[in-house]
Amino acid sequence: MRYWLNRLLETIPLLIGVSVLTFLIFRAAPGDPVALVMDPTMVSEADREAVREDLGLNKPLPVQYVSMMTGMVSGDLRSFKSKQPTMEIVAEALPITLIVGGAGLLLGLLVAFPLGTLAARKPGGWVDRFVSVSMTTSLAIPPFVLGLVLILFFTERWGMLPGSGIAPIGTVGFAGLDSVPYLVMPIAVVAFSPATILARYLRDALGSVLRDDYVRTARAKGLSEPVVLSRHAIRNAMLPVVSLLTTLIPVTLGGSVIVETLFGLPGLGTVTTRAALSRDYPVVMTTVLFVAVLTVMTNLIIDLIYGWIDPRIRVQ
Amino acid sequence: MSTVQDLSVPFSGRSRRGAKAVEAGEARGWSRVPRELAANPRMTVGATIILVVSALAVFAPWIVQHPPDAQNPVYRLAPPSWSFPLGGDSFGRDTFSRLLYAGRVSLSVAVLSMAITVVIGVLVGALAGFYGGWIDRILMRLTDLVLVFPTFFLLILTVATFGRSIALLIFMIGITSWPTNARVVRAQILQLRQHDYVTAARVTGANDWWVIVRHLLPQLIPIVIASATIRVANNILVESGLSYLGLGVQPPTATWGNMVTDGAGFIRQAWWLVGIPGLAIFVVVLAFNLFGEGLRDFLDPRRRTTR
Repeated sequence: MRYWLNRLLETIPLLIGVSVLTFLIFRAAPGDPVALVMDPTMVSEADREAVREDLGLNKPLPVQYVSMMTGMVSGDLRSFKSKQPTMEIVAEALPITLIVGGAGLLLGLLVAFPLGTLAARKPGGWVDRFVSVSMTTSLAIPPFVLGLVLILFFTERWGMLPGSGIAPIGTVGFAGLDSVPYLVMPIAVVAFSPATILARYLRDALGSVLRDDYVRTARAKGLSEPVVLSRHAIRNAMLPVVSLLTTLIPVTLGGSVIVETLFGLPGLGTVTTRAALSRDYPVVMTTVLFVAVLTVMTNLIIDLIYGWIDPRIRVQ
Repeated sequence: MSTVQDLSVPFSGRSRRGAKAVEAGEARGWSRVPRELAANPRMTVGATIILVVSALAVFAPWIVQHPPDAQNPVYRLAPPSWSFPLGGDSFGRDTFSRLLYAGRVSLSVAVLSMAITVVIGVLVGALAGFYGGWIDRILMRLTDLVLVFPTFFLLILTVATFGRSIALLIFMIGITSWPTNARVVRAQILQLRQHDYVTAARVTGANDWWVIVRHLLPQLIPIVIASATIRVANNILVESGLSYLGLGVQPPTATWGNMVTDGAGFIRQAWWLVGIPGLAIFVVVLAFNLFGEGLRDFLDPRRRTTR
């Protein structure tokens, strides 16, 4: 319990650091910050002064920081395009990002498991070589090129899957299962490189575990190979794979920007890019912070899983 | 910054063989590079492609027949021909010419930002590893902070704030991607500083800076080169991703990323407008990764045996 609590407390300075950094980038913007946050059509000096007052720009920096943070949470911080509270925008966009990212990583794991296990069972075999080569190759394929290739074949040539045009969750056009075809290609693109990386990691980890004495003991006891693998070997081999997820999750979140733009999905990535291009500053700031919080939180959860798989870690 | 590239294969520390060589005072690494290149096809292939692509980019003005931005409506979406070896794009510009000029931009952005990464990474890693204690704790916390920060979103944030410029792009990619390099360097320094020759150098009155710069860092050069090479590969992907989104290098300046964007609208009529720059990114990133991973495995024989 102490361990979990400590881990939880450790994330607080990280979150503060991220939010301060985000805030400072905003404040480091050249020129009058009002020009950034204000609709260009509002040009009168009275309006400017109102915005300045609104943002508390006359107050010292720490006060501004705090009021911006509370504004974000309370919904006082609004997009200056749609006038919608930024938190609401994030809440609307979040599900699609989580679904695509989560399903993508899950699919990656599902593909990686059999591949990695087979590769580890027969080092130097063709599965093993395939796993090594596919990781090096997949790391060099930009996700937007992969996505465009999929669109070219599945949408343009064969007409099997829609390339874009999904209705946002919660709107009239959104219809549960009917939206699934829109998600097939994005999920495949997200899953692509994690699948190969996870397979390679599992193969390395499992390969070395399978040479351990305790595995030989388990086999000598006459346990069947599936039992040796599932009860004895995989659990230990999971450690590096789970810790790899702490890196894969931020990568996947970052990649969501490209995947969502490519397939026209109304997720966090699309919202951020669109807001950035139109300089809708409050929205960008909220999404960046939100993604940072999400990353820190998932890291924490993975650490907890880590401690659960390997109780030795909790002791340290 | 945490990136897929960093995951490829983690450093598992200096090998026993390497450590012995270090203790024996053998200048390791450099003398063996040519022989290793011949024995290691990945490094050879990677190095060859890197050299060829760099040459094409550097000598682009003497190779191409048309300026990269010259529009010739006759060649709009044209198939390859003598005059337009890779066809024309949607504005009738020479795809071959744009590809080479894009290589100049993409490669210089990637290499320059890598340089920033290496400087910060080595500095942070060396200081943290050498001094330990509170310096280590603070620097590693900072490293965690940068790692946790969603890089891609951060890049978008800065572009939104400061507008698009190549210098900013280089700077931002550079200062967001040093944490992995810092960790690698720190881990190495932690091991190296325990050696007797470090104590010996200290006894002779060498100050900390001298020990770090003259005794420790030179040994890290090969490993830093390996991680820097992989960093270049990653930076190419980041830059092309941002340019694809319209947040990187501003058109009409060509980069491989925005060439893909230009072509994406015409994928039905002219798939090669996406295929050619896409293939360029793939081949170059693969080459840098092959070279970097090959070098890394060469430096760590334990990994070599597992292949």
